[in-house]
Amino acid sequence: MKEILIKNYIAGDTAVSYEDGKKCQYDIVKSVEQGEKIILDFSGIDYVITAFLNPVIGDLILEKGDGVMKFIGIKNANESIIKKIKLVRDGALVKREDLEE
Amino acid sequence: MIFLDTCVWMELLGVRTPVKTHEIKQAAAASDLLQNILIKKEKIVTCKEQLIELVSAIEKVTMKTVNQERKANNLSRVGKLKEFRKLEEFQSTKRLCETVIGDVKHFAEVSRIGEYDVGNIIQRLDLADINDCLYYDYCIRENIEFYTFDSDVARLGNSEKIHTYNAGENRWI
Repeated sequence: MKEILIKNYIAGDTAVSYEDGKKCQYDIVKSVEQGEKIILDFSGIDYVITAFLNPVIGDLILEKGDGVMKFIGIKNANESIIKKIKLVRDGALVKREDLEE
Repeated sequence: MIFLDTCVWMELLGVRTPVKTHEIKQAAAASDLLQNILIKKEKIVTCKEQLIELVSAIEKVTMKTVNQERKANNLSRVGKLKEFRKLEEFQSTKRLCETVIGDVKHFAEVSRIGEYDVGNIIQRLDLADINDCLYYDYCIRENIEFYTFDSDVARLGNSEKIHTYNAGENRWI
């Protein structure tokens, strides 16, 4: 089992950057491909937005399928962060192509 | 002070993960912008009109998505928002609205955009939509930097306060 500390990918206590999320997702994928279970540790993070979580969770599911979430655990995340992780995981966000029409 | 257009907030807070190259560029541009604003500790403002616009957009678009999913599952579709609100799926839309509005209020201060002349706005409807006109006038009047992905806003005037994203150069201009 590998722990990934989200704070290592961002400056401060608010995670807003898509690029930072992408860097984090890259490390998650590396570990998943080695068959490791991942714990995402949100300690020190007060606030996240979906722009950051989209690559971390959304791209991970797109690349590895829904089943990948069985290998992902969440630790030290506040209620607001958990709510947003669920929104991204469940595909509850707005579909881009529907927005563009 | 900074005002982010509704399309920028949607990119940051409300849409699914980007897949196409232009979507990825736009997602990165919006989040870099917010990151820089936070680092510089600049003040972001919004208004009640924008919060309402966000809720309306989310309701409208998710109804379209739900209809596609219901069609795929051989379920009856809904034609109007009034009917959509009665569906169980609407609860998910409501939660998304709550989250997005909560996020906007976390980063921005809700200001009053003041009095506006509807007649004057109607005269400019061929250039941009009502909300764009409202936000444009507010930002110009109050000397606020306005960031948008919508090139229509620039048709309202060529103020240096208006910043649109140039995908070709990958920067806000």
